[in-house]
Amino acid sequence: MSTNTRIFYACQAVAIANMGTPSGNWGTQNMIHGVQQVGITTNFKLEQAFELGQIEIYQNIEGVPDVEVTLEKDIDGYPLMYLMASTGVVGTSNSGIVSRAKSRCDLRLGIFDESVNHTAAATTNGGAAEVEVYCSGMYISNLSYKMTTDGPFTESMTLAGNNKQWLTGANVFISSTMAHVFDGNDSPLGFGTAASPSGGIQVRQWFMVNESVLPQSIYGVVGSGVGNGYNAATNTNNVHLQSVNISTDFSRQELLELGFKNPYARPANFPIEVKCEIEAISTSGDFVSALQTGNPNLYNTIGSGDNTAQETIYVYLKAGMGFDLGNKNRLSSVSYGGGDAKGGNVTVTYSYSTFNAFDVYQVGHTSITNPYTGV
Amino acid sequence: MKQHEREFFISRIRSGMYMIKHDKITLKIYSPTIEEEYELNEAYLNAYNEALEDGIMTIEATLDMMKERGLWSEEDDKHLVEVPKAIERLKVEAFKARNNELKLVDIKKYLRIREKQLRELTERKFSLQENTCEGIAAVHKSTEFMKMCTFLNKEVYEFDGDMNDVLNKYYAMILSESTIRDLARNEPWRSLWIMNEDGVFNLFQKNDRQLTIDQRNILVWSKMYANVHESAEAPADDVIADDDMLDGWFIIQKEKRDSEKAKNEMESATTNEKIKNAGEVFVMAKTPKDIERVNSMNDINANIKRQQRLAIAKKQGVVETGEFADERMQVSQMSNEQFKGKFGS
Repeated sequence: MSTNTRIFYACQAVAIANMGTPSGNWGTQNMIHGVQQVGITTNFKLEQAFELGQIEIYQNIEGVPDVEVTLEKDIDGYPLMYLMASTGVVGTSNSGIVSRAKSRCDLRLGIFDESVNHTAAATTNGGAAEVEVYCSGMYISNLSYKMTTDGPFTESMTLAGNNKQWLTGANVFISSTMAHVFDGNDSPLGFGTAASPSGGIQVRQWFMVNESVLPQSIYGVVGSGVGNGYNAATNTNNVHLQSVNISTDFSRQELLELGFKNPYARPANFPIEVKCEIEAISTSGDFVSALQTGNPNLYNTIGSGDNTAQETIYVYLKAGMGFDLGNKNRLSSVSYGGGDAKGGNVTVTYSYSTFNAFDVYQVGHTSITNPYTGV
Repeated sequence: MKQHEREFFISRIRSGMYMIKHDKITLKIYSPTIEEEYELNEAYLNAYNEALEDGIMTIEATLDMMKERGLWSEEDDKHLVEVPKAIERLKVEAFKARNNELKLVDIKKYLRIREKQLRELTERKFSLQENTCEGIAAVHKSTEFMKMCTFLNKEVYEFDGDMNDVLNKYYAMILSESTIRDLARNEPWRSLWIMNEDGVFNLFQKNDRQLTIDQRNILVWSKMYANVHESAEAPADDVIADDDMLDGWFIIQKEKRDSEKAKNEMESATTNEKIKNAGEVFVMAKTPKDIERVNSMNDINANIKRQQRLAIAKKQGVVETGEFADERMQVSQMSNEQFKGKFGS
């Protein structure tokens, strides 16, 4: 049951680390930059037992509280929350969704002295967080990346767990040193360093069409290689993308055991579906056929008789981030809309889905080379 | 205020002039025309610049000097921010105590004490104002105004000496806010205001001049009272008739509006449904003003819960999920709902 009244807190710092990281190992590297909002929903479960002989309740059996934390941040060149929540997962063979799904993390939200302009200036509680909300043993349960022509690109991540505590005084982990990350001069990472080829907060111009691989079913895309949505000769895009939204839901399942109240694990419910929705302004139509005999262009392929083929999706941002959805994405729907009497543009929205294939690369944070750009 | 006094003040306000007895003659002071007002403001500006060139201090510099000499302190500045806030809170309390006369009397006593404190603080802060650039310029503007707008037998009156007596009498005649509010909500003005909606007559005598201070104030308050009466949550008549309680109602309405506005802004900025619908929303705040805005998003219940939670967390050091009073109440409500569901259907 969720609360009836929402409570708003002014929160000034969020930190994340691997589950069980001891106090001394939390540092500035754990602070999340560019966070916009955090929402926490705590659901209590109650089961009522009755007995013959009395109308009153025999016992109220309280179940495990369900804690769900959703964080949203602007993509800004600093480490993505998804990577921070699954820190330590590196290497070409185990960097994908399967290994990251196993990771657990601890999250801390710091509320500081209300009279300061930045957390570094706080003096209450020795400059550390005055009050801290601590969620431990959290699993990544939901992830989405939104890239639109309007506003900053954002990352949303939902963590699910069963433990939440409020801490004060010496119990808080967000120390004065960590709080000094936000000293009034903190800003997104800039261009130029090998570890972070960032354009600050990522907005539409930092979507590197020339270094991305778009599905060929999008009308205008030429070929299947890197930069297939880009015409290098004219320095223009072949397709006019409006938005790219990538999302996945890990659908966590609680595994209980005798002897403990809390679940001993909340594994992801495989297969994990990864969705990608790409919206583009149409220049002539979607050109996606739906035929009983299938798409003639696929007759000599393994997709013979199908209308849609397996396609590669890889999105690259100037901040050195690559979103790899693998090469088995299938078009699940295409919608053609807009173009109303008021002169609105016709847009085509292509929805793709794949399973268990999703990896996020970030130069300087994942020490792996991605298969498309070689970075 | 007695009815004949109200009638006198309303007729004076409608006439757009003030009659002042001076040296056995009766002078009439009008408000300036738009052109004259421009000239007066220019006179202010010139006097201000001249004073500045002559090395006279501005109000800001005078305050710094007062602080250096111990005549004003940072603590006084803090009080000057806190006291109006305390007055606002007391007015809200007065509104809440509208059905408890004894409590209301006590609150009003505290209110008057706080208002006196504010008056004294303000007077002390600006005690040297007349010797500043702003003070000198204001006196010059007033003098020019008297010269331009004082008439005797329809001719501009030529002052041949000190005009301080007239100036003081004129400023003493400008009505206080409480008098204006009393006039605005009572007869004879109320009927005039209602009838004026049809535009069948003029509220004020037409003289091609700017509105007087009293005319401006009574228009503002009349509109304000009309809005209060039209409000969906209009308070009772006894609240409207009491300035303190009505001010409290205004403050509550403003807080509600600000809270809704901040919440709407937050919701329109959030596309993430999970965050929008979460039980606890942590909005990143950079400055004390941001923090105030975020805190204002909470309604009364949420604010109480927030404060209780923070207080318990500070007291206990560690608070587990489900230990807060509101969470326990939530579980208890859930239990009751389930119990009702079991036997209710």
